[in-house]
Amino acid sequence: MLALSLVIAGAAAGSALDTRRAPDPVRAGGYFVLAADFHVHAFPGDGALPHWQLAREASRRGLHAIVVSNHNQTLAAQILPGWISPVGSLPLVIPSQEVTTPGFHLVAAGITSTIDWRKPELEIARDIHAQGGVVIAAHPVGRFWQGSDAMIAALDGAEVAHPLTESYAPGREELSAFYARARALNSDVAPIGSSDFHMVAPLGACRTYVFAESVSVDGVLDAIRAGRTVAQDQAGVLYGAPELTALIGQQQTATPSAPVGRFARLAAFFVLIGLFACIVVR
Amino acid sequence: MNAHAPAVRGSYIPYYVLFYSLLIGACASYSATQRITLSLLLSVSASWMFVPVLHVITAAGLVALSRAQGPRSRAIARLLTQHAPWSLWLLAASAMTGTFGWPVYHWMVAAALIPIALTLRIVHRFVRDELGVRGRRAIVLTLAHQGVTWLVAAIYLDRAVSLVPRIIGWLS
Repeated sequence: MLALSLVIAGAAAGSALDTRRAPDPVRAGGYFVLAADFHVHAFPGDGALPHWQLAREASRRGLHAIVVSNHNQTLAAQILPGWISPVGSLPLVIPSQEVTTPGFHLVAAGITSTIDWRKPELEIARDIHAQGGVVIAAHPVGRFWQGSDAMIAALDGAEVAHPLTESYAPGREELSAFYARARALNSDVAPIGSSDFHMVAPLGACRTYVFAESVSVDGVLDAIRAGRTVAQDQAGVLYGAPELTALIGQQQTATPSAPVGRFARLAAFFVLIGLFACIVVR
Repeated sequence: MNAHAPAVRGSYIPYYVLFYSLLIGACASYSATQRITLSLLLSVSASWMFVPVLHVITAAGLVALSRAQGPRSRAIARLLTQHAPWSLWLLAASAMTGTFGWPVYHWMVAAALIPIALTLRIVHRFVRDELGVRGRRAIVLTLAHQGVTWLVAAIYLDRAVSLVPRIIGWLS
């Protein structure tokens, strides 16, 4: 009984301490600047959290938009009705699919029908564009990218900041080289920072600042098509056009994902200790 | 069935489903967000409740196949009470990854070998001592139970990470 009380008290304290929300998007250079994570995995799939909890976590981490991109399915972002995260409310939850093929992975942001990964590469890109989506190269390093130059030219964005650089030594160099190659083939390709979040915090460790004409899904996707983004890696380094990175610096929005407070962590540990007691004391 | 086994009622089964869901909910919440709120706990526990339900189904299948005499719900409940190895691993993995992040992730995955081995032993003992199945048939039943459990996990994994194109990519 004591153990269960600890669980409930810890979760209640965690709820009371859960007050952090993303500030409204600032304006810079005539645009709304939205912080977004374009590569997030949800339940059901290989993500731990359902999309409505991802939206809450995104807000805590200072994000205005997330792209729910599960492997070869679009169900996860659409599994429950809109009242859980009403259309237009922040953070924006953009449905997507991580198109997972033998030769490359793409984030197809803004689509609602699943793309067939078996199709030829350019047909996949055409199908994504036909649904009004944008095509983003996901972690284009080593074995995750064997796409042709024609495929690279069809990209709207490419991940240039990704947490893989912490565990894969050549990652930083390979991501930068790929982005340079993409820019040579398509000067409008947007630099993207994504956390590729599954089940280990923090969401938004790497993120993208989007210069959107409106605070809406269409506004975000249009900004990607026009290449109006700045990517930020987990160390806070910015990647993108100098005039846009300068705007981010001026607006001081470039703050990496804020850590969780010690009391919130302590409350969580009460829950875990309570559960531990439930297991060992029967 | 073993008359000297500790008394466990069939009503333990719904308790197990609720408790294990709560455990997964708390562990997944802490690992993913470094916090646990009531809202997270309820949402994530409800989402992953299918996992303990599958445990109950596979346990029921094992008891049915054993053709043991006596109340089946009690036998199922007795097997479910042996969840400590996986539960403790879940707690440890969550506490470690939630606190230290990706650097410890692969260590915690490797540490899953401990509950895998212990559960094999627990299920074999249960089949032998509680269900009264002897010799080779006890081993076959144990492997069948674990095989079905891991097959279901593999099917979920395939749907979750899209294994087929990855395997084609690795082979090519």
